[in-house]
Amino acid sequence: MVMLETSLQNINGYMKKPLTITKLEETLYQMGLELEDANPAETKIDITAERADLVSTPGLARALNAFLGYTKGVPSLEKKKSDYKVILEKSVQPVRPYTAAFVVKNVRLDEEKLKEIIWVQEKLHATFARDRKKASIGIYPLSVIHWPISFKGMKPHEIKFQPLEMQTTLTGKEILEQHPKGKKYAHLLKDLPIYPVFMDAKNNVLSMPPIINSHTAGKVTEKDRELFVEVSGHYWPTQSAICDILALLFSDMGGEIYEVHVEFPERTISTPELHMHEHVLEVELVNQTLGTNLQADKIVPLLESMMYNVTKVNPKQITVQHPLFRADVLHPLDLVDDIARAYNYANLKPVAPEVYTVGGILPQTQFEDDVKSCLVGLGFQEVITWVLTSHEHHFAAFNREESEHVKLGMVKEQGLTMCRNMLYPETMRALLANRSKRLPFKLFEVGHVIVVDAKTDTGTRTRSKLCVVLAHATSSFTEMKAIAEAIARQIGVQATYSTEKLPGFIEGRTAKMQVGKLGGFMGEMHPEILQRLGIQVPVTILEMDLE
Amino acid sequence: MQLDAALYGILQVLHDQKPHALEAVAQKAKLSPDAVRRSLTELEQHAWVSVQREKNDSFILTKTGQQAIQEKGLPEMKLLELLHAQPLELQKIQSHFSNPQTFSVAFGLAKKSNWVSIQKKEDKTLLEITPLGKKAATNSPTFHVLQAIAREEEVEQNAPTVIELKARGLIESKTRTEELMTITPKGLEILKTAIPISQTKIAQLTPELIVSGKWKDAAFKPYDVHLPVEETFPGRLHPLTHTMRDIRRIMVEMGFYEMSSPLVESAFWNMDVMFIPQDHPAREIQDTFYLPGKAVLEDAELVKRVKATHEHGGKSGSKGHGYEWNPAVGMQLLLRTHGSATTYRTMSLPQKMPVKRFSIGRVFRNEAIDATHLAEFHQVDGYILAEGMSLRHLMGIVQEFYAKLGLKEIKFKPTYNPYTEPSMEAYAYNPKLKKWVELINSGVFRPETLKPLGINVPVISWGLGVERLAMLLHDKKTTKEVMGPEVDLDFIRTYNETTHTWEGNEKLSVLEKKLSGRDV
Repeated sequence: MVMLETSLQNINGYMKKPLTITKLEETLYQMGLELEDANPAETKIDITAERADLVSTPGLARALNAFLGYTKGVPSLEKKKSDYKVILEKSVQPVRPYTAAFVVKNVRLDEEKLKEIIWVQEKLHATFARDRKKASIGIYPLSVIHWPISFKGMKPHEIKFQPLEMQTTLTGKEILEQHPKGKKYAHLLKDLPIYPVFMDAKNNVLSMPPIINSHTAGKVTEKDRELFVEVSGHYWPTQSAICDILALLFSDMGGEIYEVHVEFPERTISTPELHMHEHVLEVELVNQTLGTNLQADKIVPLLESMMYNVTKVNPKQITVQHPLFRADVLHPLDLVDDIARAYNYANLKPVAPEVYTVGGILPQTQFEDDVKSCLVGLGFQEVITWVLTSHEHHFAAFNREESEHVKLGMVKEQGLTMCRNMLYPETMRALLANRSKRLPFKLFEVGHVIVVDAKTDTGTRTRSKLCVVLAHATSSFTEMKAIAEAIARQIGVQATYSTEKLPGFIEGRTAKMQVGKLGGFMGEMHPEILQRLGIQVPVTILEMDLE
Repeated sequence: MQLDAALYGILQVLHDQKPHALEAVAQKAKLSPDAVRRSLTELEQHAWVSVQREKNDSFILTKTGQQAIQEKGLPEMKLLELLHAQPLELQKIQSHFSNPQTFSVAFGLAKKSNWVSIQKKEDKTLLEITPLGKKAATNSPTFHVLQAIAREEEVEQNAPTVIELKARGLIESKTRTEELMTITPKGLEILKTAIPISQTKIAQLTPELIVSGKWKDAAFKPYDVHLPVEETFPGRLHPLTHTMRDIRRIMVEMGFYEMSSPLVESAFWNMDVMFIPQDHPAREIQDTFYLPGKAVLEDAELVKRVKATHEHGGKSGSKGHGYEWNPAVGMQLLLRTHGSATTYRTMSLPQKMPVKRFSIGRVFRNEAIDATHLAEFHQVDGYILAEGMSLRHLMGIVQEFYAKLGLKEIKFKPTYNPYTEPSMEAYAYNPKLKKWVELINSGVFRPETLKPLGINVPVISWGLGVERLAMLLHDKKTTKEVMGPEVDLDFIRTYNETTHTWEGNEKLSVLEKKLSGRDV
């Protein structure tokens, strides 16, 4: 999800017919996007993750124009011929093997448009380019460049230039260490033996992607009317797509797009490629998926309003074309999805599925329900606590020795280090959080613990357990045993007991129990723990397996 | 008239119309003086008895005084007695006194009164009794007074002996109030017609009282029915459990059979089978709890098919994501991030169409916890695997589900999920809050996710977050108020199922619906 921040005025600047805020909201809703903030001056629109091409005001306007029928099909782009060349040397191939580029002329940039360009660059970097990992974008004023440009790989200390926003000349390595952008994206380059650099014909460094432009290449300002745009990286389809998106953007802004010849060692490509991908869509698939009965000739305008070109039609099949940057269209079903949006979900009448099946709950669920009912009948209140906990609380706080458990990897929430392998330390959290409430505390929990089990495909097993906590001035083992007996009777089995020593429980007042096939234990919690936790009444615990 | 037995007894003692001391009354009526005092308040209130109160100063023995009585003499007499036969060395005399304090008092007094004379012979100090001393030995007026006081006789307050005894800490003064009780004419009248009843009013009927028949002699102490009593709490299920059971009931009523899967999953089942690309942001540690260790991907053929699908679409008719799929990434262990993991595990098992399954279970997100985000929460997931399912059928089942929750006005909006296409958000109008709420996310599973599992028909699926629904139903603003150990125990104790409804909805509440059996 990306939030596009723009204004109604800005959008209307690219619309064939102006929109009111209400019309904008309705249209966005139907398209599957969301107007988060309906303030015409500061409009915020939520763009879903798969549509990188819509993350700009011109981009969104393009889609709106087509959706509302003011335009039709794939947005056109005229690519003018040129002699501009970027030579991709063999030296850069191991580190940044691809680049796609173009030149823009006659574009009028104002503050608004500059903001838009920077915004789009940022958003494309963050989403499509996976935070500059897959690709990075460089935009330069054309005037400072001496053609042809070379894209080469050089040793970090051999690269020397003054990066943008800094006063001194630094080596490649130094830039990674000292420049803010260098530090942020150092991980993308630092382990490589050579770094990529764009140099012009006079050996001026233009930039070191994906980090930073050079000071001489300069920043793009409102005065620049001609620009050089390049997208370099590791994955050609992504770069070509981003290159196409940017070309469209500048074209919408009124600029003329000129090709750049990218000379790879084996071949030369003219970018932007503006490649199209073709799908053959079965009409049957549309109607099956949507539950409709649309004829091919009714489907064609729907596709065109979603910016697709239809090149062939017959009653059974429609041949559809779309630009490569529609990376979300992987299967003909993706076309069906867009057809549905154009058709309007509100026009689809819900129908109840006529599927006869018998419903029910799992035997384990029923069993757990019976156990819960028994405890509710005995006057206990159910609590639900966390599976994730800390070693400190789960073991040390209750004088338990560390037993086999599943640890967590990196965690955002401080204090979570493992998954519980026992229930009572966590059920006790409910008592601790509510200790100021009226006594008695008669609590129970039916929940899952995670234990280590080499025999499963994940090396772990999820087990259902019951924990009962009794805390009041006279809570005791005897009282708890009566409860254990009641549960055993409910289940319909005999319970047997044996004396057991358990850390954290009073010796001589603790027992292991076997309730049919289910094992468990119960005991009076040791006062050392009660005092440490600030509990002033005796606490008796029962815990048993429920499977 | 009926009169309390104690009061009757006292009045009887007083019936000679003479004043009687309280202690004497107590003795004759066979009551404790305190009991009489308690009854006295009532008797005075009714004006059946008049009381004259006299303050009396008297003396009582202190501990030391009692000791002197026990030893049958004051310390100075003991000293004189020791010297009676012959003069004695000071040291020797001192040794007879267990308390050196007592000796110095005795010695001081004896010296002052000239009962002893001190002689120094060689290095020793000798004490000798004088003739005066001999007389005092047998006749100590001070001791006589002490003995009188011990016998509780009256003594003259200002007598020098009394003052001395007080000064020496052998006696102390005590002020006593003496009550003299006299029956009044009114009291006399009452006495003529009164009938005494048993003194004890029963507070608690006991088995002994029942069996022995003693209940017949007793009256029951009345309770003030307006007095508040201590709260008692019934056993209760957690409010979240109630919400989950309601959802379960709805699913079962619609013919769905429950399914479940473990909390720990492999990335393969949680994401790869669902065609989520391996570099998708949701797979990062930002959102997922990864665990150390590796899963075993048991079905090698399935792994091959999923790999092919990710890379170039496999046999699904898709382009695929176009990157190299890494099985090691699939083998990562994690805590499942959505209920769809259960759906896909279940769909991979041999199934004969038609199939309708649902799950309600806990899922985990690696997020910082705040008012609207928890690291652990519950999701409901349902799917239908049958011939001829379409987007309209998905809308139909979602509409049905909302209707069973009591939400009749709904609308659908297109959205995006990496594993469903088309996808839908379903909004329902909440009459209580007077706004649209989005609770259900749904879609048609992508063929890239179904083909490797051998499924060749569209599968529709939908789900919702339990806590979000619970918050709406129970009027709570934050997720921690409905889930986790910090949920208020009093909320659990007093939670009322009939509040589990939408206000402002003309239709019946959920509970009434259940009872009436009406299809609303």
